[in-house]
Amino acid sequence: MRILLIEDDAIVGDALVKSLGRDRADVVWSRDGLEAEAMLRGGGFDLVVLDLGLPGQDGLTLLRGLRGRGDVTPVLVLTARDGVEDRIRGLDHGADDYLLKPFDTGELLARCRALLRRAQGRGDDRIELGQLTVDLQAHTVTLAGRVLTLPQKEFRLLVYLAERRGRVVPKPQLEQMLYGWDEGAESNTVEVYVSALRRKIGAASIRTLRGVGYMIP
Amino acid sequence: MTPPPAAPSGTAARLSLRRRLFRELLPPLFLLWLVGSGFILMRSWDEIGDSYIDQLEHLAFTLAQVLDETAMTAEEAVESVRARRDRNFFVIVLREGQPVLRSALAPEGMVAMPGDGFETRRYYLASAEARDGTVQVITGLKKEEVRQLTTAVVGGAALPMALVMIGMWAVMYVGVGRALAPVERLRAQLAARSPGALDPVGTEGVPEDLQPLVRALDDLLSRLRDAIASERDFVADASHELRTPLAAIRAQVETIDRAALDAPSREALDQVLRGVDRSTRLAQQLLRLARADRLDRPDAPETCLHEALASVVSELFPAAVRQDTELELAADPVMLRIRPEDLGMLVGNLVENALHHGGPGGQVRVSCGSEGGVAWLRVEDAGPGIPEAERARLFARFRRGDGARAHGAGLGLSIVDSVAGRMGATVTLGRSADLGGLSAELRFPPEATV
Repeated sequence: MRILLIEDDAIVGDALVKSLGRDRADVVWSRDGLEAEAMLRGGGFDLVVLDLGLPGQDGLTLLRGLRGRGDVTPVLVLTARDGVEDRIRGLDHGADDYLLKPFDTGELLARCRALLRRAQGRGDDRIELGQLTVDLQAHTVTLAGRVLTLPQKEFRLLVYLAERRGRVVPKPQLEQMLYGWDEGAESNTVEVYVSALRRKIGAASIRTLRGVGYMIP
Repeated sequence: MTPPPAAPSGTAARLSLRRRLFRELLPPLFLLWLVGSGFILMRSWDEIGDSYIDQLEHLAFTLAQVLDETAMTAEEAVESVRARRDRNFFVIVLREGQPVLRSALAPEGMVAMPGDGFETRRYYLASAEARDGTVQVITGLKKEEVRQLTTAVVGGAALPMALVMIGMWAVMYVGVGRALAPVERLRAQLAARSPGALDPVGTEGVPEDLQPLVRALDDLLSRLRDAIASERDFVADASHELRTPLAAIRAQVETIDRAALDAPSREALDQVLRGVDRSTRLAQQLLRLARADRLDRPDAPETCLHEALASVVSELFPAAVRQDTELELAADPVMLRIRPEDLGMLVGNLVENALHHGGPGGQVRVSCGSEGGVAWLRVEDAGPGIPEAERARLFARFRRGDGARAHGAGLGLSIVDSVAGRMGATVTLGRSADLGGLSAELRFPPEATV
């Protein structure tokens, strides 16, 4: 897969090229907004990692232009501005995800993978959570090399949380994912699945934010 | 926190100017009155005295003439004149130096026309000679009589003068008030502005004298607008400038293959990452504080506190997991007028504080609700808590509680205090009944609760 990294900071860019490259990606690094614009017009990228503060042309303009042309390449926005309005603006302009600097590289890679999977609509990737590997294509989970058998709903729950690793998923959202809008679920069924999953993959693998939801750290 | 200085009330502002005007005007007016009265007194004294002396001389001369041209005795002559004269005069008639007649008011022992001696100090005197110098007529008047008359005359003038002056004060008092009405209107107009309103006041309807003042004020407001705009840009730029190098360090450190390192190097690497985290947190706090101190902030929207808290707490959860601390939200539905960034700062800092002080393996609970129409928000932890004596000191910026084990928590409570103070909310630190550690409770003002 080809990733276009648009980042003007030399040290951050260098580190990201290394990290993304180690994650089996082919990374093209552009340090200037106008140059990146030209590359994007050429097409052929599976994912764009875009820093908002750029020389030449700022990231938001670039993003607006991209979406204006009907290009749906997933875009992960990086920004050093932590204002709420900046975040909302970024997502409004068509960013698929958003990370605030300084970011955790592990989280950046996880989100990149999630965006690629979502865009390609293929389950041909694997999610790795420490000792745990979720194979989305084979629908299997391996824990330290041992294959686990998970019922359909537990598997879906695990994948859903794993794709949103590092973020709390509210319980109602999980219920809706498992049952859709119509099927009335018992209020504690999500808890039941979560505790079943914990028994199989380790208690610390799924964290509870009581009163809100769950998160895979 | 510093409360904004109270605007002076209308009357006080007006009266101080009035008072000033009177302080300037009263002493000269009083002095004028004194000098005027004194001048009248002196003039009247001289004039009245002169006129009496003329009369005395005229009387003496007349008497001498009567004695010369008629055969009247002195008594007869005096009687004929006195009938038409003021009785306060006295007459002494001397023949060959011997007194032959002394009228009733004539002073005892005055037997001759004194020189410039003692007697003239108390009397006005005049004399004339008759019958070939054998008879001398002395006429006199007590000066006291003149003094009384003069005082009456001057008193008669000074009183109306004083009344005129008092009348002038009254007219000025009312006039000054009326003249100051545009100032009062301007003051009311300025007082009614919201703290963030920085648009020009405008000179429309402002009297000419006040226009330079209003123009100077508008100039100041415009400079303030520019300063705030550049401050806002600075905060945004500073955020960028601080976060980018931190991101660079972090991203570079994370490219290192940990598996290839020995244990001490891995530990050193972890320390670097912790340092980056700490710097990030401090930079974020400083920037948020700068942002919270901004003047041009939008109005607070109506917010479902419980829902907003769920998202704020969710963002804090990864940090809690890293600290191996259990985080919990127990929120009752409450509607509150609050800016999202304010809520983020309040809860963010309180929870971060609780995470730091609760220590690893701890427990933090965030709860909200309403009680008697007042919304409250509480953050509790299971840490050692803070002794009562220490609690107030914690609000001071950059000060850390004694025995604080974790670093970088110094700004948190002062930010909370600053944000809460601006909202009119109160912060109370206490001991958590359920968890045993510190409990920080925010109570929002009734007007913020929807």
